[in-house]
Amino acid sequence: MSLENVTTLGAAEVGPATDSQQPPGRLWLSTFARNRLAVIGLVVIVALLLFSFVGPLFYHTDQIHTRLAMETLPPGKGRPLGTDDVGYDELGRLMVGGQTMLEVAFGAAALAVVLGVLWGAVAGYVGGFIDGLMMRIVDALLAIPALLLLLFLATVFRPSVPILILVVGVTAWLVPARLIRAEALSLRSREYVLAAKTMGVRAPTIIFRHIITNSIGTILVNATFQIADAILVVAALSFLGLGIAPPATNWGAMLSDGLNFTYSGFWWLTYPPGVAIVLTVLAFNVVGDGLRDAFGLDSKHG
Amino acid sequence: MSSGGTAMNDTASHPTAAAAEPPLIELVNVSKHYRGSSLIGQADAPVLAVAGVDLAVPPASTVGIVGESGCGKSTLGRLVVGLEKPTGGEVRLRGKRVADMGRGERRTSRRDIQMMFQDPYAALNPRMTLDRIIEEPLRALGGISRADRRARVRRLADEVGISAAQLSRYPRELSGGQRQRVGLARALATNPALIVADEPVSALDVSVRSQILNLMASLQAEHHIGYLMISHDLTVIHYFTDHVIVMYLGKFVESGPPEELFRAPAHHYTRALIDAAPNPVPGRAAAVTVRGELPSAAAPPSGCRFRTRCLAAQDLCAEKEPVMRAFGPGHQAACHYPLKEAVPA
Amino acid sequence: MSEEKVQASGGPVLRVSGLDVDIRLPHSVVHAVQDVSLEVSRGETVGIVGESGCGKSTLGLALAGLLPPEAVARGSIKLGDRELVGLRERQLRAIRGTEVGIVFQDPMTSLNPTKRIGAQVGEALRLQRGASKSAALEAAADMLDRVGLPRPREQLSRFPHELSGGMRQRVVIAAALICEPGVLVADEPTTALDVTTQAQILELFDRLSDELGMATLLVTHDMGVVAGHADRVFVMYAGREAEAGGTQTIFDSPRHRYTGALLGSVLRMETPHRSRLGTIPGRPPDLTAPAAGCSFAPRCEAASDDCAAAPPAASADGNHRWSCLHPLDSETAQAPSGGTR
Repeated sequence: MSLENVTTLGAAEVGPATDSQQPPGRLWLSTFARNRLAVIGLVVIVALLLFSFVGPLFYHTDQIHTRLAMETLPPGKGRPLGTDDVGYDELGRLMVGGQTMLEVAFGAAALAVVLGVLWGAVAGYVGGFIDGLMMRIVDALLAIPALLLLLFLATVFRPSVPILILVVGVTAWLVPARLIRAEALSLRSREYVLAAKTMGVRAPTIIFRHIITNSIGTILVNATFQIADAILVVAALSFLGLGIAPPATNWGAMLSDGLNFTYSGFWWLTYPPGVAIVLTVLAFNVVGDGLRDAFGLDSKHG
Repeated sequence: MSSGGTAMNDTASHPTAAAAEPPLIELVNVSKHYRGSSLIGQADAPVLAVAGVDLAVPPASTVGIVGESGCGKSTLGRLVVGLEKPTGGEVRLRGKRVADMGRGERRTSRRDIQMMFQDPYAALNPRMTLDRIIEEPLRALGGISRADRRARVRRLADEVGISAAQLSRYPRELSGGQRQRVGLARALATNPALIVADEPVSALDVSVRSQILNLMASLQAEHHIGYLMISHDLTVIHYFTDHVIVMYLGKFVESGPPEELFRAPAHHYTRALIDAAPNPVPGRAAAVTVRGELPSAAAPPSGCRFRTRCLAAQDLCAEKEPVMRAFGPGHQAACHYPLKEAVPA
Repeated sequence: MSEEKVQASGGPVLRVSGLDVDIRLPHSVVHAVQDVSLEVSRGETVGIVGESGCGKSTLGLALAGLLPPEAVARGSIKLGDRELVGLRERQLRAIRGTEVGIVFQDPMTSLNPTKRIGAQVGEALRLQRGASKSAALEAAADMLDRVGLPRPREQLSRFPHELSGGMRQRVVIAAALICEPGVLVADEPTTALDVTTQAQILELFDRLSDELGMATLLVTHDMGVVAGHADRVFVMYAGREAEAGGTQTIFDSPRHRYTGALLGSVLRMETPHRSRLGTIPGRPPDLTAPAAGCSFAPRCEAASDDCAAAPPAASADGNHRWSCLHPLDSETAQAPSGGTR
């Protein structure tokens, strides 16, 4: 029952839209879309995904059996990028390598973000002694040089895609943990969080419903940079020979193999994987920057 | 020894308060310290945001707390609602000590007291639709089916003047006044007995304030809820509450019925507030009847805390802290040299 | 303090005519100020009142020469003989702080936390008048004393965070007045302060207005502040002037329906306990799409068809001006008969 003198506000009374004349919740999307560089980066990423995963369906090459008779042939008819030292088609190799790279990168980033967000959100929200303890653990782990840890882990465990995802993810979760803890610290004194507390909402629910959902911007930006970092890490590991065993490969391994032939002038063995790595990492970084701007976050995030 | 007490036992100003019913919430000699951040081990002087106050809120009454920044009124509000735990004294809910309650019981009895916040732009989760926001307390309560929850949300929204069509919108699409309505609906969802309203209209436009105050009054009549209204604005407190408490630097300095308090205050600080308050009557300039600035809460003045700003302070004021004395029915003040004669005990 | 004071001061120091300010946003234009004209004389305080979105802050910024780059101003703002509209940033900079002093709402953010008080107060003197460091500090100490800061010389070397809110606002006022400008624009100068501190600052404004004789524009939403400290009142609604006149007149006999409704909804100490408060139904209009006619018409109980046709012309009675086709009677808020919606 309505009370007298209380105006029931109809749909027409709802406030004017913001300057973009769009539902304000999608403001970040339109801001992002206006950023040419970021959009180009996004296009590059999509292209690479298609190249790596859909490419092989159109461009059939045998990536299992070596054909030593066809080794290190330069680009020519039927082989746009030539062959490598065991006869694999280089272009096909690039695609397969891309699959591995992107799988590991996305997987590791996802793992790092999930782990880091949970850790950081709990630490920041709960505060006090637990927060101190949790963040000292993070600090201690950060002090360990990631690459050394990775090298160690990679030698102990036989590398496969899941193992790589685990190894890379486990070293990468520390940064999002810190970031989300900072968000949680500032969000926990917001009035809507206090309101939830007075209603008797339990802490885990508050953390998900109020803290994490309002940190989405930071999380997304960080996740993008995590992917870029993961690619570099996998490339580095594989370059050092700690990647996945053949016939599987990734761009880092391809680079490593190709370097053996630098003085032989077989440019098609080094430039393609190198360019692929640089292009992918750049693309993700540029998208991450664009997202950061779109969400109005400062450069501390991600 | 607590000072600044204000037990509201007087039923004359609370016709609805049955003498037999225990007060909804009671604060007995409650204090709240905050330590300065002392990570480096430097012993920072604790800030006594609330220093030994007694407060009893009878059911279905409207109590106002007025004071300026740093007086502790917001902290008091949070103590009442349970967002803070006192560092001294005890809190009783319907006669039972909170410290004696188990976690579950504490949680359920706390639901009886809900809060309405000052900043309409921060009081609602920007990523939740209005129906979710109003529904949240019902979900936390548990035991209500989804359909029942939805129905209740629609009823509440209707009561506060939000149309059903708006329920699927986000807070950013609403005005400040509309957001406060949603905040009110949310506070009402679990049928609380008391709503602590911390500066509920301060952030709103003048013409919107009256809408919200009208609404709050109607809801009170409809649901028999009580309000603890916290504000720095005397005119709002004077208009809306039945019993006012004036706070200064963590202590109660005066309390009583608003008409009497504001017409003939006993305490000099109350007088200063009245003189300084901008009243929309032409030609009536804000008058200054205090001197100096607010002292630091970490090092409050000895004796009467107000003495450093009081124009009538004497030596006794620095030596001895004044106790509450009666000045009329329900009217008390703590002052050595009050503005009017105390009524003999 | 009104009519006589205006005559004695010798004409307006600031004259605004037909001022329009548009704010260009990526996808729309906000018509923040539309066709505003007003005058302020020496020693006079004009209160510019209105609720959020009425354009009063934009007007204040325009008068202070502080409009953002995306704002476009048309019309005229005359400071003495000089036209401010259309000036380049470089020229505006010379005027700001020297001929027009500005005081903002939040003393926390108006002062640079890393610079000492003395340096900040004296800054305008050094930059614009070429005063030496010591001369500027001397003048700063003098000004700090005038604004009632205790032990002014000691404060010169202090930093803003060492002072309380009220003290900081005094410092801001001192900085604004150091070059003895003819005009002071204060945008909600006391809103962020406690009530007792607010009273002290308002008392300061009154005193300085008498002593220094500057024309003061007090932009505020608080009717109480205006009632006690403004000689004249300028009521804004949806970017336009609704009503203007002497304070006593406006409060006692408002003519514009909006003014009447606004005053009717304001709480006073005299408002009877728990009486039904007057409200204004509806919401403030969208400034990106101004109405063809009176912007208040959709919310007005006395609106008729001609109200929506064109912005109502102003009627006047001496100093008192209002733009309403169905103004309130000079007695209580009795509406003359007119069409209803």
